[in-house]
Amino acid sequence: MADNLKIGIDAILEKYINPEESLIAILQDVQGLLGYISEDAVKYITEKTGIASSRIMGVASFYAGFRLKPVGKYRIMVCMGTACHVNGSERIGDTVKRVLGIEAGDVTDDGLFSWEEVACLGCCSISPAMMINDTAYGTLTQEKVVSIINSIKEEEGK
Amino acid sequence: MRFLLGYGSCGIASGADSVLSGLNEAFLGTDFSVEKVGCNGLCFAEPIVEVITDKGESILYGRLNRESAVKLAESAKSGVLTDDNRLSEEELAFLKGQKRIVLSGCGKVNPESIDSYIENGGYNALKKALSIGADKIIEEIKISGLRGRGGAGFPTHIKWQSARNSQSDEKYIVCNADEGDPGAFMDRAVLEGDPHRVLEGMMIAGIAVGAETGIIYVRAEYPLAVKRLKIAINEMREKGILGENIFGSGFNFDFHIMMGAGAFVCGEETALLASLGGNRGMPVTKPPFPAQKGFRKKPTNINNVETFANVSWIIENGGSAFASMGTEGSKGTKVFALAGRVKRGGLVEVPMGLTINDIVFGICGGIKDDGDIKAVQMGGPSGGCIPKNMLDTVIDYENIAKTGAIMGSGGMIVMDEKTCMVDMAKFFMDFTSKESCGKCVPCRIGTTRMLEILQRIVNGEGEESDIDTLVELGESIKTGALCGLGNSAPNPVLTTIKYFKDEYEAHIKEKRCPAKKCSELITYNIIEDLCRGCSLCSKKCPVDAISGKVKSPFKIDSEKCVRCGQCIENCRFNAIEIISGEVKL
Amino acid sequence: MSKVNIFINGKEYSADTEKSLLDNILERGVYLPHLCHNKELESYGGCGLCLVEVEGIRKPLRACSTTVNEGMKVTTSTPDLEKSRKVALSLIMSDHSGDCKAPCYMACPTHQDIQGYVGLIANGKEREALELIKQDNPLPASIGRVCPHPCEEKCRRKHLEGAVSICALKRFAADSYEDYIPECEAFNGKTVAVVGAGPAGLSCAYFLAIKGYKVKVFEAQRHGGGMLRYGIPAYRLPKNILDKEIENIEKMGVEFLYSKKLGVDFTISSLKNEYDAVFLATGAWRSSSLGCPGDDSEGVIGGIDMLFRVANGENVDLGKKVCVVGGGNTAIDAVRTAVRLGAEKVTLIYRRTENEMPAEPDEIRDAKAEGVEFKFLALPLEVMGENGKVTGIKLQNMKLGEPDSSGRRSPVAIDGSTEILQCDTVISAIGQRVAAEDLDSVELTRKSTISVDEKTYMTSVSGVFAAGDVINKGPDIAIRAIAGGKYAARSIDCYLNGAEVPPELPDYSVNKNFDASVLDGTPVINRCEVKLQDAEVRKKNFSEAAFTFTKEEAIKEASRCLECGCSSVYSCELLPLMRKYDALSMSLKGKSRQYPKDKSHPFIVRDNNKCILCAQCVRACREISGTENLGLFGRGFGTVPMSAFDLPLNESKCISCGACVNVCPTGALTSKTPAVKNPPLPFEEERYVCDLCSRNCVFTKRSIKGKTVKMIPEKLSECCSLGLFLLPVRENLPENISEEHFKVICDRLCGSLGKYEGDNVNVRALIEEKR
Repeated sequence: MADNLKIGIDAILEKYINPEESLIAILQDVQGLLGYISEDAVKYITEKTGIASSRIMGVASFYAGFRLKPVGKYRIMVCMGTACHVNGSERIGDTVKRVLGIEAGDVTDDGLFSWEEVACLGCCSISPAMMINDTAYGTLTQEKVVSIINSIKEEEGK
Repeated sequence: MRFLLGYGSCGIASGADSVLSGLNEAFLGTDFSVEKVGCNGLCFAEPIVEVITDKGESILYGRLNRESAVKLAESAKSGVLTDDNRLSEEELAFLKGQKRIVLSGCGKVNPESIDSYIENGGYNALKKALSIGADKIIEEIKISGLRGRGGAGFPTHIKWQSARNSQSDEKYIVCNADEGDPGAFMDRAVLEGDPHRVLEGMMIAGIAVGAETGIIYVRAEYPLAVKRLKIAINEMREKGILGENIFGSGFNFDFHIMMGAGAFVCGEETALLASLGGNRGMPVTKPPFPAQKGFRKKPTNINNVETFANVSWIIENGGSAFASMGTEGSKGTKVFALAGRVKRGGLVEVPMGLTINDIVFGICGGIKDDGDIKAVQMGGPSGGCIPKNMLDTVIDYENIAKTGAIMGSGGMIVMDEKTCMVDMAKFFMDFTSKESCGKCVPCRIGTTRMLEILQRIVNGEGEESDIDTLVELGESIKTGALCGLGNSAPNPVLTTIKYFKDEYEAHIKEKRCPAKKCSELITYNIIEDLCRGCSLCSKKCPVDAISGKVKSPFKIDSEKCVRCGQCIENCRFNAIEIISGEVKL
Repeated sequence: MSKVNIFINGKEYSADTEKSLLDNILERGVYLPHLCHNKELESYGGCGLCLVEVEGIRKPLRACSTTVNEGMKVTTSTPDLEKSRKVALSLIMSDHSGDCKAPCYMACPTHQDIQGYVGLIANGKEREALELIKQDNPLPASIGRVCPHPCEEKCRRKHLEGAVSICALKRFAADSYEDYIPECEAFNGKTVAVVGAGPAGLSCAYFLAIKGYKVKVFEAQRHGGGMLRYGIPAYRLPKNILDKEIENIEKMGVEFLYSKKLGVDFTISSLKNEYDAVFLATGAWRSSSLGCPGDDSEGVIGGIDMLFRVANGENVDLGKKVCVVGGGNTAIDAVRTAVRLGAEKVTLIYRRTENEMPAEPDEIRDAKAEGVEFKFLALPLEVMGENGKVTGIKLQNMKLGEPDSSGRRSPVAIDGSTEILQCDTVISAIGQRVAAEDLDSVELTRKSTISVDEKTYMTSVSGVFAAGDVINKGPDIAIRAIAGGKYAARSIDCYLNGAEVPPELPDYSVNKNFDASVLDGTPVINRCEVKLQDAEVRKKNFSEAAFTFTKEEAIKEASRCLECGCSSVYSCELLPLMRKYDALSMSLKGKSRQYPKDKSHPFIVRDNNKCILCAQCVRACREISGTENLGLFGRGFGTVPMSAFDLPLNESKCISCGACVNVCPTGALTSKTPAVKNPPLPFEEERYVCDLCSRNCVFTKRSIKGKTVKMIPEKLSECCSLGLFLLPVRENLPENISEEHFKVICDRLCGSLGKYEGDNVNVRALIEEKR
């Protein structure tokens, strides 16, 4: 693992007095740093804290918020909450899949996009909804989804 | 004149930022300014600006965009407020009949300013609580009849008393803000719109049970809530409302925020505690209860956001004022999150004891596109679907439970005739099976098997014995599962079988989906007489399943068709129909 | 530790407050099922089986995580609780992708412990292998030569380079120890008459003799063996081999009366009066006729009749050109016999194609090598003749029609396309029928076979049983007849003792969704084919055509076994519960776990297909071992215990403390010895005090045939890896073990010496010393 990443993780670990109890927060920070939880990062955390790798992986694989592989620069999260479902979120997911040409959980070849189905985003009143990175998009239609993705592509010059 | 802009996640997602910049630009060089507030619950009309005139009159503007916002600003500058985008009387009926305690500050106070909260009476209850002391606090809560708003409705005072009775050098107050119930968003609204109300409630609980640390376990999916909580806590520290010897009372208190990492089961107390300890969120059997052995094995009192948000009001106004609202067993108000096929969705806080009809039709204006209501889903994945003919059910814990649903955290998903109940049951089963922690057999394998059976039914591969198997599995999971998630997981299936068995039978015996929703059981068809041959559908079809000659009727190749519905969305002549179970020509 | 009084099912007991309710219940000898509890581990509550009702509490509680208090009133069994247990077990079974018994075992009609004897052969123990075989099969030398081996059809190795040569291995074992006779119980005072000394009759007599019955076998012919003697040519099964096996049965006290014919010398009724039970196995001896004009000409002969005459030493002249009609094994036996009798041109006529032929592919291959011609897609229209003597056969040419609903393509005639084959003899080998004339008093089926109960083999007459070709559906393969004799013997034993007849095959877990990709990476070892006498030599005589495996060949072939059957089948905690609660009857379908086995570790095999997620291994790895090597990964249905990053156990930080294999209630984590194969066999257990150091840990020593296979510590937390694994290693170390493997074993033996209190230990010497 690159030294700068080690330094980054060192800095994260320093924030927490009790790393065992703060394991989830540590992993959230590491994910913030790397974009996902890498095997190397887990090994390094074990090395520094003594927390067994099996336990770290157990936690990282339990929570939907942790990713064990990289995500795209734009991470599209299609809400699968009840309100969104009733208002047709399945089609929103299908549209994203069609436009990007990848399955949920995968990343496009250019590394630009990844998409996933996520639990309720709490935007039920503007369902169906999705989030791209930290921005929420509501009252979606299939066409709207296409244009949102296309405008990102344009911005990125693709 | 004051301009309050609804700036919650939903408002922002609906375009509150462009409204904000529109207003700010127009107000440049004037005395007017925009105040960012939380969501006032009128989600259906986002983005919203509430104008409070110098006379104190409140005028609501909704569905704004940059252009209309500028227009509003210009009209304000001119002294005559525009009528454009003003919410109609009919729409404002949404607010009538509501009694706001939990939501009283949402849309009123600036969530990023402690002064704004204090101006609105904030932290008076804390001062009062410090003066009356623990026993009296618990007494007031007992008189109020407050029950846990997270779902199960356990009397709050018993929990507090039990934690108070536990002897320990350290105790904890935990706020369960892991609102994972799909379809419920009141906790997010309160945390984003009025965070201090929750924090004040937690501190009062701290006095009551003898705890000096409060932990807020909040979903990472609510970044805005986290941000505002952090601001609130910092401001409290600066004001001396946190830390040691608060208000000179000798009472010490501090907060920690812990972000959840995405596991619905962590809404369950013991799983939440496991998660707080840095572990997989797997529940354990009770007893021991958290009040005896919780976080760090110390007595811990866990309540959810809405429960804490009631506390300051009760302490300030007295338990009996709270108890004067509601029904025999369920006191006070309850916040409901209305969504789905309802005309005006949003947050509604009403006294317990109204009927479901009162809320859906009286407050929320009925069904979208004037459809027919079929059912209301309450309690999310742990709840059930209450059918049309039972919508006069009085809302309190006991009466809702009698229907097979539960009060839950207050999500109400309204369903119309386009909603397939088998598909809904499958949706919830899909949810719980994915959220099952995997520890106990009934939940881990049982929900998966139930989901697989439902999947076969919606695919038209159901067998007649499937309904019995679902009931048999469901009943056993209810008894045998380890925690509340599993115990209640079969409810959506069992209630839909109870009330909508005919829909299951139509799928199984006739291979027909009455709601025309299940894609394996439907075909799209162009009605020749109505089709004008405009070719728009064919252009919009993502899989080239529609062909024809311009100006003569088009045809859909159902082998190719993926049932995406784009053609129907785009047809201007209502010439496309969905057929299920009928003979194809 | 304090005591309280509690009531379990209405009875008062003193209970220990330090212990869980479950432990209190179990220690008081009350039955309560559980699969995730271990008193050395923290309670978990996963399996949901130990639910009990406690008075005053609405919902059932998990006894494993409930504490006892004074006056507690507990009920361990109510209809609701039992129902809930049944559902929980049904759910567990639906995701338990394990094979209790290997597919070969399930496929063999006699359900022989194939994995067991193949494993023993691989370990160089062919005599023990034969003893095991003979527990289920009285004629291994014969059947090891002629069986169409349905077991090999189901061999999982078929997904790789080819099935294990199970049949040939059986022959090898039988030939290596031909004098072996199993022990028989003392005479129990009861007598049974067996009619017919074919495979079914011999089998029934054999198993009854073991049980202490006095058996008399009545045989119409001058020699025993039935179809094995008269239907199977000597080049496949030399008569002396069969004679030896019959002689062995005779030595077990069975009396044979030859040339005694039913309906002539005695009747069913007369036997019934004389014996406690009667068993009929008279077979199906009548050839079906061709059913076309001329089929009664001179020179038309039934396949079985021809084979009989040859076997009986009669002079059979078939002429120069022979046509055999039929596609089964009898047809092949007939053509190959015709070749050996000196016919110059032998043609097999079959109405479909080679692909549809019921005969064994190997037999077809061998017949071709011996010069037999095959005429496919042809149906006899008429046997041509002159002066009533065969001159040829007129054939209708056929083609395969469209597949029917079952996918089978029936032959249809090609209009106007016929041809004539010249020949001197036409042999009809299209099937056999039962000659029912002599079957008095028992009810027959519409096919004139004896109608027997599928489960008990009892005929319509109480106390009269039947099996083999003579019953129900009629002729079948020899091993099916042997199975019939075996299970009928068991049924007769039950009948004479007033006991209920158990099912032929009790419920076992079967991995229905087996995904062959879990075998990826298995090293290739090609199937060792049976060596044959050169075709040009063998076609000239009736000497045996195939050779028995050499020991070297047999060991190599046996080592190909994938050991599909569960090594915990005799110690599994789930299997008896599954049966008790009839947990397969809900037949829940759905996705299930499919993982490759991890065999990397020298002492531990991890098979997550069988994991029921009781998490005992994970808890033991943390709480007892302190290693935290195993953890739970993922969540919900997909949760799986594994080491970090799913490393193979041998590359993980496993310290070989053995805790996981001793807590696993199923076969998901099992221990193994360094022997080539670890066949699961019934075991013996004895108390053993370890003398490697002064701790003197107490174990239960589990051994199979005198060799230690597993050490089960009395207290998981106290022993070291040496105590756990040294004996199984030392007693099962193969002679030709590689230095590399030996080193791994030595390293792993010292994996967790934390508790060891002896001097510095030289493991290598320890192993060598007592080898």
